[in-house]
Amino acid sequence: MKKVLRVRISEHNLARESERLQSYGLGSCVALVLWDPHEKIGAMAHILLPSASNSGVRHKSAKYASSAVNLLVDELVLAGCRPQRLVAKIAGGATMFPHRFNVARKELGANIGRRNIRAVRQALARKRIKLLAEEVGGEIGRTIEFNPRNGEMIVSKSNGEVIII
Amino acid sequence: MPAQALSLDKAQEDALQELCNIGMGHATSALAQLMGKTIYFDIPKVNLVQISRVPEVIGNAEQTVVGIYLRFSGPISGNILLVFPKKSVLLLKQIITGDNSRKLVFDEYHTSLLKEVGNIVAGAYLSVMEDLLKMQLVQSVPWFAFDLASAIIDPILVQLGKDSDHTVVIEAEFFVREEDKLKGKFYLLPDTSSVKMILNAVGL
Repeated sequence: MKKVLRVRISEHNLARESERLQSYGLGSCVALVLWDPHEKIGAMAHILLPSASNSGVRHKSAKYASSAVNLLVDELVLAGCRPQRLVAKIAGGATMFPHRFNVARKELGANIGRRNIRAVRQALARKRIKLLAEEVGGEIGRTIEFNPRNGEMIVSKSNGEVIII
Repeated sequence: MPAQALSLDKAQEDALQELCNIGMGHATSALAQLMGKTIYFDIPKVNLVQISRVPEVIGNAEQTVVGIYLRFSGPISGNILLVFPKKSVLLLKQIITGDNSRKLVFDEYHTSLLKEVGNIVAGAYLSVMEDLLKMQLVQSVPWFAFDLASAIIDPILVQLGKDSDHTVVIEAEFFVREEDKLKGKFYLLPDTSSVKMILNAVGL
């Protein structure tokens, strides 16, 4: 049995070759993985919001897209990874109360998923980290598992569909 | 708004539990009238938890469920979520409409039906809060979702997570005794800034 490390909302974790990283039930949240293919070490953040509403507060937190990228880079460097080797994969950012169920009304929280996705992409670009693959948006919840040995992210959608990115 | 530290002592926890208890009494009798069946409910649970732990508190976080969500606002504001497992949704539909098909269809008719259930339950609950807290509350239109419980809860945690890393989750399970598969859960998640105001309004 591989050791599976669960990453809850606004938390992060780091895993080596023999371990796996998992985030359950991503709705509008985005799971970000940074991976060093050489060291075979990965780190995952379960992001809730694009950025802190109070700009005076500088959280070094996995809760916000703006700080999660920096946080994961720091942790991976501490673990012996090189920043220039890091690549990224992301999943989530869905609309959970979609238009098809809520006809004739504005979708609820449609923006938050999209804003989370955009904020993560921007934070990655600022750090010049390549986004290798993504499984984002739509109107469906996702559970993901990341394997630092080969860099595969298994995305299980709530309708039973499974995608590997 | 700065991040607020939330804490609850035993008396405050008891007060919130009692408030929910009375609210659930009215909410379930409104549902009972709609369904023509007696609805029972368990003693409400009051949890002060980290936002990251809410999906675990909600439980069955990995099952697809129907979620009906409403926001309420006024002097206090917050979120109400009703969660029904798939089997309960079928039974609910059968009892209310007499349609015995075993297929889950979420067309406009059926989503409206379930949203109306949410409306009635939340309305009855909130009218009790209005009486007990002596304030007027406005409820939003209900929203419908069908997905993993832990994914449905995300947009609510977005609301709560802006101001705090902790939240109060008040939950109560309700059920029909003859139909052991018909059950649902009622969740009240007040906005962080409203918890103190609710307690003040009941003199704590």
